[in-house]
Amino acid sequence: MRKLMLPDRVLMKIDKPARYIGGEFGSIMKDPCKVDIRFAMCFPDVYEIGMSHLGIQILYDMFNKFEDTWCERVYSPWNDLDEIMRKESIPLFALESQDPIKDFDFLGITLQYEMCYTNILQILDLSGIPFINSDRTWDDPIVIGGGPCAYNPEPIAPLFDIFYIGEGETNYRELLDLYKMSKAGGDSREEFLHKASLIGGMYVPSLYETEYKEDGTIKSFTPKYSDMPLKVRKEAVADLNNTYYPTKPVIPFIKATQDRLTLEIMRGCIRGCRFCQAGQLYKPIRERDVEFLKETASKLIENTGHEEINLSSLSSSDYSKLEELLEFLIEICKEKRVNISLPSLRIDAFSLDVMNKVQDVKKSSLTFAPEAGTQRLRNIINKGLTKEDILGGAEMAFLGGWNKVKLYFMLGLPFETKEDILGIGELCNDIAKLYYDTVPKEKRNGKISITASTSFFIPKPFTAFQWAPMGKMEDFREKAFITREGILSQLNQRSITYNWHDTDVSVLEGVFARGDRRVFDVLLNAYKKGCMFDAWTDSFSYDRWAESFKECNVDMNFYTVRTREDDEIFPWDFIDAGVTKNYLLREWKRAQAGEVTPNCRAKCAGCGAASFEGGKFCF
Amino acid sequence: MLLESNNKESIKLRIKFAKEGPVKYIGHLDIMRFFQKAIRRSGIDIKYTGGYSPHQVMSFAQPLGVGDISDAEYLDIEVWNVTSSEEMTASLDAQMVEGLKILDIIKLPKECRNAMSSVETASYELYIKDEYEDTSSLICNPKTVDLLLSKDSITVVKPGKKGKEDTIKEIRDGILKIEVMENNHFKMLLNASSSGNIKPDYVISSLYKVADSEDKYDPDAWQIKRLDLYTLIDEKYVSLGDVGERF
Repeated sequence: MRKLMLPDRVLMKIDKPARYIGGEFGSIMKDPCKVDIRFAMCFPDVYEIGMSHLGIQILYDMFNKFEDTWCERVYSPWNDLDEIMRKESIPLFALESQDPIKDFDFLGITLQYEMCYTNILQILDLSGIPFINSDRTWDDPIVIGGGPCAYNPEPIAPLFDIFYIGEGETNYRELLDLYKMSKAGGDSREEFLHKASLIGGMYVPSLYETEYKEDGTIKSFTPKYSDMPLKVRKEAVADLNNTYYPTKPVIPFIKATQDRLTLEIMRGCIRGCRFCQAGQLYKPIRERDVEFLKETASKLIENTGHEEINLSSLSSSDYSKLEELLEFLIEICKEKRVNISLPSLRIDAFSLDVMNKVQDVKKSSLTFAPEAGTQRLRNIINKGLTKEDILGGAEMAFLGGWNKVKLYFMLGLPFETKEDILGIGELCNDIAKLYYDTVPKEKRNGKISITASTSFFIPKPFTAFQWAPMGKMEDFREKAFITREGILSQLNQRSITYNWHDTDVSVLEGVFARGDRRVFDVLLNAYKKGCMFDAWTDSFSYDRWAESFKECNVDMNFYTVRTREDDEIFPWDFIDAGVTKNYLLREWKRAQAGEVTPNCRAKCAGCGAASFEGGKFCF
Repeated sequence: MLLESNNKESIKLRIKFAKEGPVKYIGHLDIMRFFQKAIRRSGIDIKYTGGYSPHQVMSFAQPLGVGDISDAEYLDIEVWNVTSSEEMTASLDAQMVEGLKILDIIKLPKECRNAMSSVETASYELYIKDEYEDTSSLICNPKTVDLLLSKDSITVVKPGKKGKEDTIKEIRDGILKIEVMENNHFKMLLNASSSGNIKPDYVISSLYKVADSEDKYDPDAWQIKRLDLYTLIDEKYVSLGDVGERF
């Protein structure tokens, strides 16, 4: 039996001790003496959250297929264990071997959302690894970060030795080989990192220096050595059918937040909505072959015993073989008694038919994401969903027996006016009215129920809106109030429920999303004040953060409400994400003019992603 | 897996398994979820309930507490097809992880009671875990045991859950046997029925009390090991694992 790092008396006192024992079905055990590299893969949040993430399962599978490498997992200890570990100096450990992270060769940390940044500090702290990259020696693991937030790594740059920009399936093998050679050859840590910076997709922050202008914007960004790239080009898998995909993922011992199988069907998105970062980062659009998906789905169901499967992509309705794939899944899932969790689909006859087969119509709701209340604003954000689309789809659904509708909106979008906000209530009302006009009284399944939700818009790097100002917190609250009043003034207001989240956390997210290296001081200060698990409402403390900003003399507004000039140098400009800054600037101008840009399939907009291989619509 | 036909009769099976090592920290609900997935992976043709959210027809004899280990846990299922005890035991055992072992699968008679309601008594072994201060000699002797068993009434305080008041529980009648073993281990036979279940902790804490050493009692220090569960058949106690036949 494996021996656990945590003593019994600790495990018996904390919540959900099964988070920390490892040994799950699907987890990989190797003999440490028989491998050359120990890799610790980390999701900086609690076990149940981390185990829901497909990315780590893909990389875990990939690394463990390398014979010379053993990859294990580590997650943030919950608050109760965190306290005990600090008090008793228990080092952070990997789940499989229970060995201390400090002894590993690599610590890989996935960066999925900005509010987990304080947890990165927690991971380093509990592992006994120095926070600042230049303070580390060969006694410390190489700390490497990846994932969507790596596309603006600057706020956390001092914490990492390397950032891997882009998709992780391509260049890790080269990095590991270099590591082995460097160590055998007696290279210094900096020599190794310098050589690593020459591998595609690798950004070594300690070897770049930023200079600032007087107004606080960036003057220059220069590498230390002349052979280092001025721009780091992201990595993207050329052929998604010829790469790693785990068919025997690790099955968590406790119920994960997403307790189901995930089948990633494609990457990238053709729609080009101007607020959406993921749609740009994952270009060019690449699909997985439908036969590959059918085979993988079958294997996953056999190998896991999971009771639910879900399709993952940015816009599943645009997958070219969706009908064939869903037909297959409906068949096999009925046989194997697996529920299908449908992704958001464009509402049309096909999707309604699928939803009918897969869900309980009485209980499930129809989802639309107009994001904006008027066509004018929808055109500005390039969300091609018209009122006719929505009402047309809703009408079909109502005739099919649906009577629950969910609508998602954002407040604080660029160039938003009061009319746009009031448009939300009007749209909801039109849908309610349509229900009563469409379905005769005797055929109704009950009253119509419409739920409108709003979130606050946060401008992100590598989108057309990266120049846009973010709304102020006080303004957000007022806009939510206007939305609510707008809804309450409608004839059918009793059929409409309005949800909004009071998120001062959005402001922090806004700072870190477009932050630079100076924001790091605030992060460190806030962590030392006890900020941690900021993505959790109960743990987040806006006041502590505000204090930290004040003490570090950093102005939040510089990063959030400020409008950027067209020619400003952004902290993330050194990254080549495929889409060019010119394209994004064009889109920003078109947004201002209210002009719609057609999707990739209809007409190529010359975004720049065609410079990567494998794009389905790139020529 | 076949979809059941309406005129076929399902077969009742009882799975016996052991739990020890790191998996002892996994709670009962999660063990249930683990088995649901394991059974699906194994290809066993388990019966599902009807209705809108069908689930496997599966019931555990008795939950095992977090931290406890066991030589004999029981899980009843209903299936449409069987092969042999040996084959099914092996195929389910292949879906286990370190610390969980499938020991046997038997066929239950048609009129057999549901596992949980049939449990009458349980036998346990208790000892001090390695990393704790060993205070077992204070209570692990015939003198202290006899002193406890000579009492007509032994009460323990059950802390109230969620703001409710504490309750007093009478446990003397539920203690059927206490044996002192070598190297300071206890063996106990206790009432484990749904109405009269006695937790081994209660007995241990009462022994410390009777030995005037309540301050030395650390509930986490004692490893609880369930040895078996018993039901009553024709006024005789029979292990749940002997209620059916191998096939």
